[in-house]
Amino acid sequence: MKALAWHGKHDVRCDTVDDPEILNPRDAIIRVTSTAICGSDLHLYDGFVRSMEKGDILGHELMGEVVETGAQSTLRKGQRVVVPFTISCGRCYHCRKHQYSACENGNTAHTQDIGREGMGQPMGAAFGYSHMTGGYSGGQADYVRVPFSDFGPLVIPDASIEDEKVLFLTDILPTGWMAAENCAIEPGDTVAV
Amino acid sequence: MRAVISYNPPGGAIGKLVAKLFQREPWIQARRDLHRFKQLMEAGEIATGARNRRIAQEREDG
Repeated sequence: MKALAWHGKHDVRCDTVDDPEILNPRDAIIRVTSTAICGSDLHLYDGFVRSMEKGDILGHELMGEVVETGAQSTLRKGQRVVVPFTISCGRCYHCRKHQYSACENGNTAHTQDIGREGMGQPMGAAFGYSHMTGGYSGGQADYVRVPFSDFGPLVIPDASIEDEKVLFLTDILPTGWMAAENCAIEPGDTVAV
Repeated sequence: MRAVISYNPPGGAIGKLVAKLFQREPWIQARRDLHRFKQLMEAGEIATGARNRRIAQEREDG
């Protein structure tokens, strides 16, 4: 497949790489129909994020069509889904409290140590955002492996809704929403962004 | 769950440092093994960031 891969500071290339596969029972493979470039992708591009490796596939804002499912995925082939940028199990302490970006089970046991040793705390997991967040391949690619596909992806049943109308549910809208929630912003408030 | 491990590293403090550099120090290994166990019990599977079996094998081989 074709994918946008990081090769170093200010060096991003469209590479031909091997396809993703189902590795865990809750996985699904998505054919990406739309993906976006996030402002935080620029931190990778500018070389500010440690634990990037040559060939890492970028992209954490993606949506597409389900093409393959693991034994415990609840998705069906052909469904259209929006994929959250966080990789969350849905069952740990933080997920049960709806703190999905702090999921304890999405990041792998050994890559959690990168955050633990570098910043004092392990990070959660995300698509295409360094090995500190698990080393997952991102969605700026033809296909992507989506872990915990029974929990994270949002099915868009209405085919008349264009990708552009729902793609930003992956990251941009919920990130702004959470900022507003954390700041207790209410209608009528004046805010600086 | 907590694990208490007592051991005398071969080569003393230097041996322990070398083991840590190669990610083979027992405290690191036990912490990761316990976390994989937690993932298996809670999430039903052990997380891997690999895209496919080839990459998973490469990462396992280090």
